[in-house]
Amino acid sequence: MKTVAQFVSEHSLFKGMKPDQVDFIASCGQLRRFAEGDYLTRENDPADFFYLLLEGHAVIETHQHNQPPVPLLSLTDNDIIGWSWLIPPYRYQFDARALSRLRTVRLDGRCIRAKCDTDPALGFELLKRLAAVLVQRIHGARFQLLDVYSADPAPLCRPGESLR
Amino acid sequence: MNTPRLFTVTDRRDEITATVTLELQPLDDQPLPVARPGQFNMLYSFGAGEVPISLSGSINASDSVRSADRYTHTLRAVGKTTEALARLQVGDQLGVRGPFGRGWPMDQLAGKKVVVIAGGLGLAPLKPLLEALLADITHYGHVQLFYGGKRPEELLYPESLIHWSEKIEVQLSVDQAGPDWRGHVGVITQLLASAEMDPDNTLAVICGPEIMMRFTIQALQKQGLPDTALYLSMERNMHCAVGHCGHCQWGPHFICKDGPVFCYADIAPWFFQREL
Repeated sequence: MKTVAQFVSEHSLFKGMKPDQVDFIASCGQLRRFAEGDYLTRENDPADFFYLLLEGHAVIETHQHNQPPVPLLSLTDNDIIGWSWLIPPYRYQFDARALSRLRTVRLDGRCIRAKCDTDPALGFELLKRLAAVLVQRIHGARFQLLDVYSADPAPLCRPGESLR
Repeated sequence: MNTPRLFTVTDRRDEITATVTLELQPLDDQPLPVARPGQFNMLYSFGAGEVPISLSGSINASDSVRSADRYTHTLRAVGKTTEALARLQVGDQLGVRGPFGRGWPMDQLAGKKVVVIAGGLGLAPLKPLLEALLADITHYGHVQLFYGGKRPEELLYPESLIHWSEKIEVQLSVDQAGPDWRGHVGVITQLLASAEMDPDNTLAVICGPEIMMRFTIQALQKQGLPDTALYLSMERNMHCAVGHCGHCQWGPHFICKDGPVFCYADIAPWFFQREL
């Protein structure tokens, strides 16, 4: 059975970081399992934790009154769930729900945040890495907004369709 | 091939929004020329006009796109001509020229792992290729299909997707979904980023909106696939289909004649030329 430190050191978010930095981050972590349907985060709850998804499928979603939840993004192995621990007011913005049994490393955002405040080198390294993942998510969200598969006429002919 | 032959609609199936599949049979007794996956025909709706539409029909073992003596096309009504074609009913007639162009590189796929990436209606030109791969699956190392669409109900060929998923890895991704959707919500490139690929022994074939193909190429390059391993179908402004009119000229290439399927290594310099 791998330890939290092994999972953390092998995760793409932390790979290549200094051993003492990885050790510290791992010291803020715990292995946590979730059953299908469990919530990892709930909108507006205090964002004390974030998760490294080791195995399974989860979805980020939002709710609407008297309506089923709206899925926004699917996540799976090696993905990260939760940013709100990093940014005031430190409350989750969306729900994260397990779509299958999940294995995760739950990291204590308060612990890491406090350490980053006193260790700028760790803070900067971590922010660079998190920013890269955030940029990927932003690109994905923009791509979704482009609505490239829309049935409306496109500016160019595409396979199986034409403006003529 | 330059004179339209008279065909009749022998079958018609409504697909997703404004999209139909037509099965076409020639009215004369002449055999159909062999068509290969990835090629297209020019469909002529009398009084409305002529448009290039990819072959999307089932195939036979020799990977031609004929099913008996018929062609199959899936098209979406987005303009005057395609609206006229989409209104055709069984028994109606139309003109057909083709097949034209260079199709998917079937010979090069043999023995390789094949990653098929489709977006929206881009699955239509890939359907004959998928059926050719499935008909002779032992010749290919491993086949994966990644298919992205706007919403679950706007994914093409749902029955085929179920059938294919019994034989190959099929991953579906939609931009928006309801709570009952069990597939992926997000962008197709996210699935590609987390997929296991063997860059030294994999060929990728891509068809979809150009924006989607651009991001897909970047995701595959990050996976380590070389440009020579990426094939995509480009269809722009094709009119004559034989490289005479010049409407589809793209750098040194005529898409109708040199494509519509290109190896990315051959067109990379033109792919990001915004003026073209």
